[in-house]
Amino acid sequence: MTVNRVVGDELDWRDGSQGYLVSVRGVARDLVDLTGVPERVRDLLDVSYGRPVALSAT
Amino acid sequence: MVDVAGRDVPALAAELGAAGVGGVISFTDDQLELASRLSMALGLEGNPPEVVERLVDKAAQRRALARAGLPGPRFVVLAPGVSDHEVVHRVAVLGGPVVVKPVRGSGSRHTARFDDVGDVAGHLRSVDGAGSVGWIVEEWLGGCRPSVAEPFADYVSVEAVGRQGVVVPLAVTGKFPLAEPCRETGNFLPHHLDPDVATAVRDVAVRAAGALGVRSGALHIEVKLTRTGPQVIEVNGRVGGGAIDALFDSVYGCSLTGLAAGVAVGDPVDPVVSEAPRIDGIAYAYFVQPPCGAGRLAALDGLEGLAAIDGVTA
Repeated sequence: MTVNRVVGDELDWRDGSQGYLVSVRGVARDLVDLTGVPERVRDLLDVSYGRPVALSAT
Repeated sequence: MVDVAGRDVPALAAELGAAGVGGVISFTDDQLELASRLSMALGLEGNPPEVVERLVDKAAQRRALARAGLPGPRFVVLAPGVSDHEVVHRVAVLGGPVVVKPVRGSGSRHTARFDDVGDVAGHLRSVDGAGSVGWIVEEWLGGCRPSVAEPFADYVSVEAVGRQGVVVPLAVTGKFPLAEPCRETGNFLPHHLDPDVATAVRDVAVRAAGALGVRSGALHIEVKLTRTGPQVIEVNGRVGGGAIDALFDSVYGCSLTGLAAGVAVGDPVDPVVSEAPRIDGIAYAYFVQPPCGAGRLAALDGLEGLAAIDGVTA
């Protein structure tokens, strides 16, 4: 897996697809198995978000 | 190594030619123009500058595709700093939904979909400065019958390589559904489409490359699966992002980057390279996107569990 953002990083949807948090590569057995990949990954991750630093400081 | 910073093309070409450089290639949109000018100056395989312009300028590309008769969305091009009044007036003719992109850009940066065209002006104000050469607003291409795509995205990409004006489509890449407002969440190979749909997708991708005058290099062509058939989203003159090259390598045993580099030095492209997958299964790369409203990453736990998912390789 690749971790692309660490705790404390500011997030902005305007960064586009490169603003992802984590990527996972693998091989699914078939299309049914592939369908479940996003849910399996998200279920394992425990993620929480805050406001941007600049806004939190005000 | 030759540092190109601050030097003009004739001087660079002279130095590179003296060094016996046999090919020039760029792996980013930003350097396609320089690669083009150098390859032309050196008499090497490459795309002329006017073709590169159609590859990196989304407005020029849409116009070229329309001139060639390829089906596509209606679109409006807006200059930098356009007034709210003009945005509202000009975008209204498109109805909704629409997608807004910088005329030059990649990776869906500052790109968003809006159901209501009345929200476009506010968006452009919020990203002021990002569209330094303007914005393109396109009708959102309607998706296909659910049975064709679900549960995956209703668009795919064609990975191709051109050489001496002949474009060879090597693979159709499937996608996980987009995250709001228009961010990619991953790719997979081989694709999930019925063979006749995949053939139509490859055909429209090759027609699009031809309409732009592409002669050479890697191509990543995004295609929407609409109810009236496949339509081109955009043509990129480089290898696709989102780990597509790594997926292609794992499935077919060679890299798109390597094939493109080979073309640059005159090697032929073997179209059968991707006819038979070398793995049993579907190689994927999945990207976890934060919600649109998230401003800061406060906690990220559970990473150790991801490696234990059946089939995860990296």
